[in-house]
Amino acid sequence: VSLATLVQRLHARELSPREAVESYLARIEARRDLNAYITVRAEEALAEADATSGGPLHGAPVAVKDVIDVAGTRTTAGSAILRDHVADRDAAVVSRLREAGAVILGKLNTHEFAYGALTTSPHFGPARNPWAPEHVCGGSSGGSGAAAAADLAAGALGTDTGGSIRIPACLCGVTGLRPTSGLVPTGGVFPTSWTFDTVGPIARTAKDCALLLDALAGTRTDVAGGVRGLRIGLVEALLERAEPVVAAAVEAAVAELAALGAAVEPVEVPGLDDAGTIQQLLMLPEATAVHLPWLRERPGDYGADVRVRLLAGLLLPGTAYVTGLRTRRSYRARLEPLLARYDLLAAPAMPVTAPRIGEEAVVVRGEQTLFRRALIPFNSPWSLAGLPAASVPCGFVGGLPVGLALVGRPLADATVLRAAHAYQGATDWHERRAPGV
Amino acid sequence: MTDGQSSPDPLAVEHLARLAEEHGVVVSDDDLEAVRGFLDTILPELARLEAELAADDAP
Repeated sequence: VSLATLVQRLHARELSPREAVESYLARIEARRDLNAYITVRAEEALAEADATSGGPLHGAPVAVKDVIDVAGTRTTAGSAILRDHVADRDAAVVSRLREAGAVILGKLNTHEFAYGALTTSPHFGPARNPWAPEHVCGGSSGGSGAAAAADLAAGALGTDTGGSIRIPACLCGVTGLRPTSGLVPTGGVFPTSWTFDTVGPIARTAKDCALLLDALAGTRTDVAGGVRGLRIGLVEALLERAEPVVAAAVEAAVAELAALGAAVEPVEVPGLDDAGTIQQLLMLPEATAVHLPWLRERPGDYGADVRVRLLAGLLLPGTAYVTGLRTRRSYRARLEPLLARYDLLAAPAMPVTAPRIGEEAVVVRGEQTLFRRALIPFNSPWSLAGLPAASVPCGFVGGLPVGLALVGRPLADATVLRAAHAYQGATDWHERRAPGV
Repeated sequence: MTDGQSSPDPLAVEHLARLAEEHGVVVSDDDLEAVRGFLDTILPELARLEAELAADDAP
């Protein structure tokens, strides 16, 4: 069941929080093969379920990415360096989940230090895609995507710096929201980049994401109301960069939104091609600053891909960061007229479906390219501007999920979720279940 | 350059290794090759963005 339905049943006392937790623990045990969890808090979750008393998420079993601190539980960040690090207090978002009545089932697999889009940690093993276990979940919140898709938690938290919520949500066929930058507190979350880090929900539906967002941000999101009268700009340049079958699924989804009453027009996003570079000019040095002491003392404890990215941040010229700051400002200014004209932007969430584990290259429109490079134009333009952005399931290609990206104005997270909810009211992609789920 | 010396190739492995060392980080040749591939993409884009900023700043 969806988080929203589960919460209704818990409030109606059709089942108890303990029964709900027991049910999820049984499923987690049965799907160990997916490697979605790094740490399962079985005993603690059952005790917390017995102690929970009301709240909008009363007794709902949720899980958090393993860069988010839960007091008394280790935060590994998918790394060898923090393998045995036990948090002494809850992250702010965990405190807020608890205040809302949620029960924390455990800690979810992540790309090492949330610094990559595959979730193939050399230290904890790859998270496997519930739709095809030989394929990646995406990342860096890959365990969160897998857990939501395989019903291993009623909802999950991920973090998103340059796409790390939207990518796994897309590739795992669930709904994920990168909230507006600054809307959700990041205290107690291991940082990747102070400028771009966000924490947000990954769950079955937009309504579930709204429930989680409200607990995290103190908002009161109303997903009802539909899309009639909303102006949506379709980013055609990204359709043209996606695999044709992926683009077709996204075009069909946008046509559905138009049929529901939205006014859709093609748009050009100024600076779209620069956004990825600008974000990297800021993100790479910030990540290196976080890791510099360990990079000096124990470089061999990093996976090769993360180490190389950290070294790249170290070896960029000093002017790069300043150029990043200045060009980000001009990029955001150039985006303002577009955001004034349109309530939402729509695009493919990703250009391809999930690659196989171990494959770093993908083929897009006949050209082979690195997966990590292919995803940047689909994610950085929205992260760079701090905009709320969701990935919403909108079809399948070869049995693997495809996602529609919906991007809103700053602090218009509710509009993003409202449009996603309206779309999910007219389609059933989000209700499809992976084999064996 | 006014002293007749040419600038070091910013992507030369020796140059990158020396820069890393100045930060107290010892890097293997394999890693440096991989970093070079990474920077090879970013540095031309950085130069282009800096040139555009300079043009915008011109009186």
